Amino acid sequence: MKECFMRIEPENNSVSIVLIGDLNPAIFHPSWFVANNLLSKDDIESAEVEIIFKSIAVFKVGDWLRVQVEPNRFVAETTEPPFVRLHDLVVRTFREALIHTPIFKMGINRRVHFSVGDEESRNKIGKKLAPQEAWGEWASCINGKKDNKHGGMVSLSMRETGLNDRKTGHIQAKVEPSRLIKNEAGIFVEINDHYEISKDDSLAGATPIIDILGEQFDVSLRRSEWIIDQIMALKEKV
Amino acid sequence: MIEQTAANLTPYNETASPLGLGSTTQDQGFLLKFYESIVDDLSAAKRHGTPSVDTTYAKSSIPDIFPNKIPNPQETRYSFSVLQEWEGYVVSISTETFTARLTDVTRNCTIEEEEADFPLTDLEDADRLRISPGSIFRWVIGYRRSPGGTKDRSSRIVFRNLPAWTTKEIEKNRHDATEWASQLNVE
Repeated sequence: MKECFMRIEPENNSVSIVLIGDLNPAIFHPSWFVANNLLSKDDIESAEVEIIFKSIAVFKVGDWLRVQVEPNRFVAETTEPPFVRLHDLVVRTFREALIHTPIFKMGINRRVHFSVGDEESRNKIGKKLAPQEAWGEWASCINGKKDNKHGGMVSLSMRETGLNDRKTGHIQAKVEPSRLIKNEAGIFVEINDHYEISKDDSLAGATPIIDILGEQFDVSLRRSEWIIDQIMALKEKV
Repeated sequence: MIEQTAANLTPYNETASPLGLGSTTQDQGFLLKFYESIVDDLSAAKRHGTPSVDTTYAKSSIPDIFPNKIPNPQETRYSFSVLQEWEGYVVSISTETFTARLTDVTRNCTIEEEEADFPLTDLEDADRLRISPGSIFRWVIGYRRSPGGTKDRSSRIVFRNLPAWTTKEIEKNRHDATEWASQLNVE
């Protein structure tokens, strides 16, 4: 995989791992993670449970981990590098403690918010990604008539399929105006690196998907940052 | 691009992260799904007259099971942008420092090219107690940015909790070792 640096320093970063399968949310309590030697006793001191119920569990550990589990979805998210710590936790959870849990889909998600300096540059990038002329006669109306607000691209997704490294799955990028960065100068990009296995393979429990996570995590993040960098590069082209 | 939000016309993306403030499309879907699942449980329990989830006597009411606050997306907290990242393993430990061999992860290197000494005081208390020769860690340097926008250069060492080797990985390592050994014989 190519060496990659994102040319603009993101102002906000996160990585999440999403697993789709058959889960029991009620067991996902910080104490369960400590009992299974997946989190340390120090971790549990900073753990904060938002809700643990039969159909949903949400807790966070300090600033580095947020876990949310629903009957068919497990989400672990971090904003703190090194992101590999999230990989270690998820792989150990489903390889050592929940090995028989059927998991059949996985997403490795990279999200960043970055600034392109000013609103004008952001607008130009938006128009480059989604030219308004394509909307015909409506194009002249999109901007609106008020000085302080204008229309334009709200959300754009692009998907790559037919990848060689997986039987089924895709890579999907989404670009939107950032609501976190001030002065209307921010762009939000999310990359969803999505893997699927057949229901038959998922009868082997979590192992087939978790093996993919073990092999692909670092590669996936580097590729996602490379895709994000393509959007960052537009700042130099508009 | 614009300031306002618009209705979600894109298909629901199952494994995309559902927790983002930046997302104008997914927040609504996630929150709706979140509350629907709770309401479904409540109405099912009412229909079938099932007792509380707990086996002990517990007074149950809707306010009890709803969270005190709506899940807080992580984007509102401190953020850390990596400038450089290395993976290292501990070679030796003295009273005040430890020495490690480093592989540059940012440049996608696979061979250790550097060696460095780190003060033990840089480690978290738990890591200082468990460090031993061979321990593997990640070292990142970058900018730590507060929600208010101030940023400072920061360095962080985190020891890895590596999963146990799988049979497949052990087989691959044996195969690689055999291959390398045969190349050494040729030379």
